[in-house]
Amino acid sequence: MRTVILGAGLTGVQLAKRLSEEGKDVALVERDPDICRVASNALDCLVVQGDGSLPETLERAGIAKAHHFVALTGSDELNIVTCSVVAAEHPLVRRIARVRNPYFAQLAPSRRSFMGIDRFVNPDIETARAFISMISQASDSSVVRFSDDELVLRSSRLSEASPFAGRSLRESRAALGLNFLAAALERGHGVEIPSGDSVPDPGDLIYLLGSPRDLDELIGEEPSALPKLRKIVLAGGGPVSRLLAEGLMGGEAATRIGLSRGAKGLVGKLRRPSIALLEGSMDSCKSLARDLPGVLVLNRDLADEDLFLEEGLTGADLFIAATGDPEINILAAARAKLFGVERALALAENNAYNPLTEKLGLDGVISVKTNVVSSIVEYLRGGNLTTLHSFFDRGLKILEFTVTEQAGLDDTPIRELALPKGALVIFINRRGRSALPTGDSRLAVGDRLGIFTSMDAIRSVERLFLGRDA
Amino acid sequence: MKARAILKLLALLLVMLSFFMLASAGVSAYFGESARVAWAFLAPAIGCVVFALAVFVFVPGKERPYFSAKAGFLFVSLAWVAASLVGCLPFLIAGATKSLPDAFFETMSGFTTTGATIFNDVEVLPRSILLWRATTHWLGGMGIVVLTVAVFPLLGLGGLQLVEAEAPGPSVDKITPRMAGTAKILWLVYVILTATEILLLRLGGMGLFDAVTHSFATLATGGFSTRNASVGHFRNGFIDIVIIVFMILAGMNFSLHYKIGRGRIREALRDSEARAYLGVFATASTLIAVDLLKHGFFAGFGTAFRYSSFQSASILTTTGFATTNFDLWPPFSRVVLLVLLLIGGCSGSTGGGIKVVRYLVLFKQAATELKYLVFPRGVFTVRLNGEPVRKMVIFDAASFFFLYILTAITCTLVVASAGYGFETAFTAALATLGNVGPGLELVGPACTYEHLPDYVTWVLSFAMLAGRLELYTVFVLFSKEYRRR
Repeated sequence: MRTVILGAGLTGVQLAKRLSEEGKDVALVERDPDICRVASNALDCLVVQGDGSLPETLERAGIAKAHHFVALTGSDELNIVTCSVVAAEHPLVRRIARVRNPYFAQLAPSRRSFMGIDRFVNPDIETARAFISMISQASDSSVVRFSDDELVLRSSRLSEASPFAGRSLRESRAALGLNFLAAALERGHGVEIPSGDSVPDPGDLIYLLGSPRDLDELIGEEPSALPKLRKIVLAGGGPVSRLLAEGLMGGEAATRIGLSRGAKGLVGKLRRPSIALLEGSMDSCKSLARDLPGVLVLNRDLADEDLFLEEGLTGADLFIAATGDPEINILAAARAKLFGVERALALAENNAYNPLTEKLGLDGVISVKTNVVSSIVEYLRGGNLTTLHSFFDRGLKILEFTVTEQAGLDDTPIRELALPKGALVIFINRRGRSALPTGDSRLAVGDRLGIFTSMDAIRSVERLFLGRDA
Repeated sequence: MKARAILKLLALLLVMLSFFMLASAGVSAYFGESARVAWAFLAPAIGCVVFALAVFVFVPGKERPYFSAKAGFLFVSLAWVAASLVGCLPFLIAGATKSLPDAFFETMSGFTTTGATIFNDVEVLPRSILLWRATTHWLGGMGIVVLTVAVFPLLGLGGLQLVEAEAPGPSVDKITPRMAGTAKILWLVYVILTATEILLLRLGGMGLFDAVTHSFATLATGGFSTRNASVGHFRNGFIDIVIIVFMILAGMNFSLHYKIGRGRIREALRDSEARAYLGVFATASTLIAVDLLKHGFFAGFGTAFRYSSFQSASILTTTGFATTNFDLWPPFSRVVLLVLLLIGGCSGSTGGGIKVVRYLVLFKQAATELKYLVFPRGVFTVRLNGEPVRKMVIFDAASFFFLYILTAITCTLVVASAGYGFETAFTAALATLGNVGPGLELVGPACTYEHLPDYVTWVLSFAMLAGRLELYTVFVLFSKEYRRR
């Protein structure tokens, strides 16, 4: 499966690297010869130098044989035009373009293809979405709920007295007489997908899937959900902050691009959350105050000494630093933690500062580029396999796969799926009702499978479910 | 070139006026009134046409008149004074009034839709004169200049300036791309509403002549009646209700009526000015009804509410009709009416006063100032209907408010200098400046403005004009900057 990427900027290179690591053919097109040289030294892929908007350059990159075309230059217009060219010459190639103008992002879901583009990737919207999904997950990391309420995934640290400690899972199940599934076991050296013979030790973190009632009995009452977000501080008046504010307020524009869906339930229902937005430039402040009714816009510099005390920001539930400057974001978020903010998140350009995050006490960092790359990779993987949930800090993911006729898996028992080590089918959702599978459960077209997997196993899972050439 | 354009447009306006005078002359002939009354209309009408012909024959220049903002102010002010001067001729020729100041006051009161009268007994007047009084209301309500713009599409780019100088409220909503189109639509809405009210009043048992004159006076929020006891004469609950409803409609923004007519009802219902306006009306009506009940004026709440809501609507919309002598009401009710005198209708309505939207803007601005006290570094936007309000609009509302109060106080001083008490002087000033009509005490609903000395009559005529043209249009002519340039 070949992918042609236009533009060898940070995102283009990262995407090329990710895809070639997954064993896919990648051709990278770049106009600047110097950048080409650097890229071709760093990457295991074809690098073509030339003007990407010319069909001739694209031919050299092998567009005729490609499945996907991704336009990632810095210019919206160039990305759009090139996709239109590809659409005209090679209509079978799926076309993805990075477009910063938010207008197109709201079009995307309703239209199959607009101006020759199958999917618009807007970095700001992707970032805001990632923040909101991070907030909603981290708000209670020990419980993961799915679309229906029949199954819930919970993690629990095992004590000496735990019924699981010191005997195999098979024995535990027989002794307890409850229906549950142990999805993962996190021990000192890493995560393993347990089998019936695995013996958990006290101190291990066990991930259990089952009905909420059964799990309450097994590992105690669910921790009551964290108090809803009431006081939120956004630092920086850029597009990401705007989108976050709109999403958290449930604004109309945010609903159209699907931002509010994730934010629903995060903020207190009785009262609208109080959102304060800090921005240093007076002009930006004015335009923010005009566009975001209900948001308290404060014209403050993040480096002001008395900022937190003067504006009464101490004790906020959430602080998101999303200025254009990653260093400032990380420092501001760290400072917010010092002033008693419950959770502080920061926006970064890439993964360079990730190792610092924990040291500084931050609760999370979202990297724009990585995030855009992930979103594209997800799209390239195809619509049948999507991410339900990511445990960002633990290298675990729950994927959802919809069984189609093409997959040729109808009536296959789960036992016979050649699942890699580190991956496990944890539930089967048939006609909207989820159930725990056994090895003998047979798949049917239209089933949605929940697959618990470690990052290492993702590629094998993809290959298994999406066919050889994925 | 500017003088020529003004002269030509003025001539057109007078021709239009003469057309309506002919209608009154026709009515005069129909009812078999004396030849002197008929000539009172025919003579000025012929004079206007001759004047217009002379202007178009002898004044050279064929180019479309272009109006700068500056010329617009001058023209609109001149147009209203000229219309009032010509319009008062029938009163003088027919011998209905004794002096020029009285006739001018009556006509200005008509055109500005004030409804303050100098006639102690209107029921003895010829019907054609009564119709002419109602006609001045009806023409002035939507604006004589707007009508000229709608009828004679010779105005190019300058049209908006003219309409803006005349229109009530801080801004003109353009419904159509062209000003002449907007003016036409507004007049169409106006005509439809008037026709509907005439029909409903006929159903309520009113005679055709009374129905037409009262409808003219209602839709214009004028207040001239053909009866000495105003609407109270008819003692008919249905008629009261019809007039209440149409007074309230006339006090609302006419572009809202247009939106409702086009099916954009939700949009119209969300209008915060209309909501505030209806809220004020409901609150005032209820407060007065309760007060009246407490003092035993009426037997039941229903009756009390019928009278209180009529009077609240009449004063709030600056119409000035009366169903009872509210000057006799208890002090609290009178104070509530005084507060309504200070508010007025909505922007883009035919009502006068300070206008609800200005209160709304100033109220929101005040609330924003409070926010700045709590968050000195905060940045806030004043919003109206969800849309940000520009700083200019807020300053405009604030200075208008100030200018309005200042003018009211000046007029109060003038009236008081003639020996009148505070209540009479203050309400006379507010009732003329706000184009309401009746005030309290000696200018109350049972009295007229006839007893005021001539100099007070002139000043109050000016106050009516200034109030109708929203102060700025008139006052700008006296500013140093205007005269220098």
